[in-house]
Amino acid sequence: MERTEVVVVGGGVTGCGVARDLAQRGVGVILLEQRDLAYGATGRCHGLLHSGVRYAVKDPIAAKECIDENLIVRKIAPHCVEPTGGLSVELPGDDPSYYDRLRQGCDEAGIECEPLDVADALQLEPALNPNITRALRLPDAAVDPFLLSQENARAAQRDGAHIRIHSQVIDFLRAGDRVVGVRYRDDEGEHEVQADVTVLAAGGWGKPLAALAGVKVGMTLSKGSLVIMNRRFCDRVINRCRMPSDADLIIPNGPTSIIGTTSITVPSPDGLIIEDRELDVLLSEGIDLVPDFSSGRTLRAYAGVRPLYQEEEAAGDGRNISRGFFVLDHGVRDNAPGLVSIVGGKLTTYRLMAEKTADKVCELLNVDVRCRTAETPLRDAKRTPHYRRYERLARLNETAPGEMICECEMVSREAIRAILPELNGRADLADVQHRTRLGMGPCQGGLCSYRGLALMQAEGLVKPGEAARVLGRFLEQRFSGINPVLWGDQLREEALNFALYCTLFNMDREDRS
Amino acid sequence: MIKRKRIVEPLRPDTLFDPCIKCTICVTACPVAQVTADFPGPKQAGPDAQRFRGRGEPVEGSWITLCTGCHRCQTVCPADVPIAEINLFAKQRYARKHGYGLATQLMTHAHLLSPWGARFRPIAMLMLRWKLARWFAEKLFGIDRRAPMPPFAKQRFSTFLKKHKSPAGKRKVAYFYGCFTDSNEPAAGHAILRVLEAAGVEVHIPPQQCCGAALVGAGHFDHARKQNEFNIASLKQALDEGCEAIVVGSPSCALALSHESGEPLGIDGQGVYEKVVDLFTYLRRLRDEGELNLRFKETPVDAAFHEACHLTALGFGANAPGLLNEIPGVRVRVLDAGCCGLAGTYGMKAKTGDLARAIGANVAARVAEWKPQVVLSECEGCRMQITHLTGVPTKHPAQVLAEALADSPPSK
Repeated sequence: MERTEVVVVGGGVTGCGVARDLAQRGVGVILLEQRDLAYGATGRCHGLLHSGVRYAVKDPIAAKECIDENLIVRKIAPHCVEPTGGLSVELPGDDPSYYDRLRQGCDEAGIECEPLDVADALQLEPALNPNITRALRLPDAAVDPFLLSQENARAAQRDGAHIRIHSQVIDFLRAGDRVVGVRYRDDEGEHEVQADVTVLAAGGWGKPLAALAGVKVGMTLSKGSLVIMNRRFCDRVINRCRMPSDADLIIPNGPTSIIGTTSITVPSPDGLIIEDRELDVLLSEGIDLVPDFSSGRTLRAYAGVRPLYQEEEAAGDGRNISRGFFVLDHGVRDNAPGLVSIVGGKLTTYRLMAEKTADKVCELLNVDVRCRTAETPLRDAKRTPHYRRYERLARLNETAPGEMICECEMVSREAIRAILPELNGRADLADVQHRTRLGMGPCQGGLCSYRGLALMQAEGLVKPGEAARVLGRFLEQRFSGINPVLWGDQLREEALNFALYCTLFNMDREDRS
Repeated sequence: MIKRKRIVEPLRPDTLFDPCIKCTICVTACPVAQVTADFPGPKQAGPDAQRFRGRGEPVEGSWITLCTGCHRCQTVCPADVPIAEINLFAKQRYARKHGYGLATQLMTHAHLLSPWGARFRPIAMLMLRWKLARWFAEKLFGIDRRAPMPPFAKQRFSTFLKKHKSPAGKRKVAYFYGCFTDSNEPAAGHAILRVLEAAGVEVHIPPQQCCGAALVGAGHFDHARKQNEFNIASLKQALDEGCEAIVVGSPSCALALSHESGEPLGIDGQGVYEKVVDLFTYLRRLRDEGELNLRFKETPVDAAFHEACHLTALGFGANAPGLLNEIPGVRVRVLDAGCCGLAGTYGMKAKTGDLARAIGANVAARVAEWKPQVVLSECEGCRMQITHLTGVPTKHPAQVLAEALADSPPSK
């Protein structure tokens, strides 16, 4: 049986951050992720590196954490961050007192917040609703949550950690009360890993997993739905200057804009459904902020769950629950030594969450090494400049014809080949997508899915007879996000994709392979 | 089958990439993508790239200058994406940072240079034929030494027009002849004038400047804007004075005076854009109304017709072959062999001359196969290029029509 010091369960940004932190301190780590890195809440978030302004009025501790970590993440992972800056804009009808409370909250939390003339704001962002009444400039930024998770995992791997995707934990190993490892399942079968400490960093899945270990963790799962528009309407993060509510945040993400979010309590992190009423709110509020939304092309919609920690599970939409995080030592709390949970928190504060978790683990392991993640860049900063979407455009120059696998997002054969070793020998186009943006453009995999499949086949990743299944799985996964916004241009796009895959490739037939 | 349509609505090319469904039909229609790997094709260069371009940032990637601006992509697009316009804006943004290049500067201002060429015709013609001079022009200015160069006119068309008075008619049109007809090839202008007058149409010649097609095509918007503000005002006045249409000799001028002026230059068309037609579309309309009464004599001509890309882009169809084939003795076959490659100044620049010749290879091969007496095209650029590539003489189709008129003197 395999042995290690720490097993981290969950490959979201928190789990990857914990693995990175522990590996850097010289602790042996195996990270197990049921699907792919950033599959859960991490990859379904807004992609906002919070300045903390969203919590400045009612959650000052979270606000302070956000601004501190915002500055650290920019420093240690500049290639994952686009320092867009942000604006908070007030529209007619918004509670005017919020503006002043926000400024005061920002001052108290130490968030740089500068009032801006409406005319100047409109000059910075001409797509904004021209009726805005007041504006503030904020240090928000856009962050690529997939890349941030992957870069943490890669940094951990360089320090000796093992990252295993598509490895689902199905049980815990016990020695009396003590949790001494996990049993997990991957493509090859079931395996066991013994560990001195098991860390649950499984977000919304943390609750059922803890229950599996006989431990109760109170958690409210708050679903947030978001819509991706095909165009980058604004170059800055646009906040609505009002008490946090539905659909008051538009974030530029590469060539797209993302509007979100809603907040609806759900029982499980699996099988999330985006409701029509959510889309109505997202799009109509989006039009309020940026009128061009009405003519824009909706690319897809997606939903994630905020795993909000709460000892007593509350009713309501979860907006009143702290966005703070908690490290739970189940040895002390539930008489299950060897098990630690990290719950709550935010993408922006992932590093601090990882630091506190690793501190707790080191304490349990009697390892006396200080955390250094705040001062060590994830990568050699010289080698990787700021994340800029125009770099992709530059690839057009360098990429020979026929070498561009995904034309919408400009992903070359070379870029895909480079990440194939990270796929654990599995052919999964979604894993390629998460690492390269393949299939994330307007055609949503229409033209690149079969090319990507052919590439993986040529590299020997696709097992005989498996091709149609690999392709079908990705097409269905892409369609699940298109389905809620199936109108206009995206409907026409899907008609073409349908013709391609179902008419030409017979992908709608049972005997397709 | 090429979809034809009129494109006159206001455009915002920075945003109009949204409807692209990536069907890639435009790539199959692009003459440049078929001959070079250096140009990523209209889909990647147009809507795909535009999605990644930020507001106000310079456009990088010199491949954008390889777009000829033929509009074929835009014509075939089933989603109405203004691909050619997107590229035009990108070219402008590229040129703002990287400059236009001397050859482009010289040739997009041909409307200023050509009158001097006509004035000093003997010397100018000598220079054009003198290989050493052409060699120097290539080294100094980047003008391809093998590229076709237009001859200079003995008498400028505008000089002739000063003494010409069109007889009054039931119908009246404004005729925009363009600088090439003026300084280089007045024969086409004389033919158009004769055909219209023979049809009983009064031809009004409004004051006019260069349409700026070459300037716009190179992303040189500012000069083109000044010229077309003048043109639009002048043509508007012609319409106010009772002209029912604006007949334009060259499809590229017509395109520049219709939609191309509209968005890139931001000029209010004041109803002018919608009235711009090519000669044969105008004649076709007369005929459809039963008002085309031309009498022809037996005229034995075996001709091939080349449809200029910009004629296609105008959206009226190619109406010359049908009308010409009604003349006894005339046989016109449509080449249907794609773009000739010249694309205005594109084929004249040393940088892109070879590409232009490669694009035109299809046309050249078809002409060599058919061996017509003459190749007809409304576009002067196509005419130059086809003669350059094949040695077969070329004419404006109006010239065949004019020669076949019953009262015409026998053609030379």
